[in-house]
Amino acid sequence: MSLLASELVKLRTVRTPYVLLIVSSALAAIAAAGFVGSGSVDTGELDRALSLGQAASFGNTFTAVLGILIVTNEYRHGTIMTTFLAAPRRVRVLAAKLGTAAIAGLVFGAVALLATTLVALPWLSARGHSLPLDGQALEAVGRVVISFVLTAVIAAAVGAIVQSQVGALVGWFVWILVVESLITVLSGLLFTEVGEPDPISKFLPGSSLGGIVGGEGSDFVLDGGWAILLALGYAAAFTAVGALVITRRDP
Amino acid sequence: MIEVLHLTKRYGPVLAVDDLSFRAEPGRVTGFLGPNGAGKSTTLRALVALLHPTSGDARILGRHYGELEEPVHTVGAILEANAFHPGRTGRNHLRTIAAAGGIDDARVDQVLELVDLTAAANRRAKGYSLGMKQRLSLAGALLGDPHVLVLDEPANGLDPQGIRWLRDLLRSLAADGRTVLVSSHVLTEMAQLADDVVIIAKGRLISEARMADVLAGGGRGTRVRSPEADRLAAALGRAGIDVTATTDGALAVDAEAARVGEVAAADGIVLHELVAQAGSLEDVFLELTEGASTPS
Repeated sequence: MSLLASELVKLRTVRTPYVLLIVSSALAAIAAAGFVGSGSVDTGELDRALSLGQAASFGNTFTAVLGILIVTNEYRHGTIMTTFLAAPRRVRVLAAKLGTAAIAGLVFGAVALLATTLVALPWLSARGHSLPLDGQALEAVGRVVISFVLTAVIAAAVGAIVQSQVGALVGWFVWILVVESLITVLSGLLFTEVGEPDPISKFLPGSSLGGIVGGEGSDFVLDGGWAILLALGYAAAFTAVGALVITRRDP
Repeated sequence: MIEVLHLTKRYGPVLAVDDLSFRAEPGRVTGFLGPNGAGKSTTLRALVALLHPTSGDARILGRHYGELEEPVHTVGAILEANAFHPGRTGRNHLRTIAAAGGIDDARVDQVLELVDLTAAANRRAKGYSLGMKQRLSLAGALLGDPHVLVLDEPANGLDPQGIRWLRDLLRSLAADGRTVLVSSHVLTEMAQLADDVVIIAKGRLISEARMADVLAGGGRGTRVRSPEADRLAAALGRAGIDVTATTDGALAVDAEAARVGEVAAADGIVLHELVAQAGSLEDVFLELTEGASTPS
């Protein structure tokens, strides 16, 4: 617990996390304005909640950045040595950092949801729409938060594996924005040709995180519950590799 | 008590530390000396489990660093003078360590006071001078009031007053029974600080000794002054002893004072001054590491 406390002090005593939180929720708010303004929410009430959840997910990009920074900042500035001096069992340090990433992800997700709701509510009520406050809406909210938490945890584990800050950030976004997109397009083309559903794309790490928020019936992501399980699997795998690397490779 | 036992660390083809063994005793300041690149930092990092040795062992109070129950309260270490997040204040840097060691913030303010950083405590570390960063590192090492201190070049960047302050602080910590191991490549810092010295070069042990013995061991020369300097020089020359005239009219003789006195007495030469010269640590060090290191 003292290591978790130490990590939380580290998180709260620099500016970057606050900047990222503001940018993350601003992006979610802008996406919400876009959803509402485009008129694409003039359908059923559940879709509204889901759409807003997806709007909030735009902020998730910066949760990934924060997760990566939680580990790589320490390697970049040399403070990892001070950290390991206080906790020579490095796996415990990783556990504390992943826990911190999870807490940060929870906060980022909640704030992004709050931002989207604050933007969307006046707009929607002006048009006579309402947001449901039933089980399904709560589930949508829960999924957004879970996707933020798992994104932050996986990003922190990737940070432990790569250790170089630039390397981890570039690697993460090249993978999410370029590699996964390429794989999805190529395998989509290939299997459409054969006339079968794409069996690869939905199992990629980025798709698993995207699928958590809302992908019922999509060809490209798993349904929510399965996506959570898959993302948990990725989190476990990256954590295992991260634990191995952080223990073996000396700072 | 620190024990390094047959420690070896290889980086590819480079042998950074080569079968190194030495001890640092409680209640004493042990100077860990060697030229740049001798393997001092590698040794100290292996000691606190920041790197895995290729072979051999390093123990603190009889245990591996990784096995210590309360590392922050057992060992205080400085491995890098500038290991801070530039945007975090000095006080908050210490709070991160304090939280990990279960230490309250009152102690943080106490060590800030001790290293004279109270006024700068709430400034971001990027604005600190090198000397302030050294003192902040030292504050971090002292937070847990540890029994053992492992300090890699703690005097780097300190001004002369700072070095004197550090010397007094480390001497008082050793006087309380703590084990203090402090590395340096600046040898004059050590003459008045260390009780014992461990000298390494190219990763190998060159000498492990009491500082007093090392200083005395290098002092074979004698300074002698005589109204009959020419006669004395001739007499010493006949005895097979090297003599050099110094600029102030005295003679620098490469022999012990007793021997010079005997030669002078045998020829009835009057002496006005006869002083055994303590060798400077610099001379001793260069002599000891000669051949083992290349000048940079």
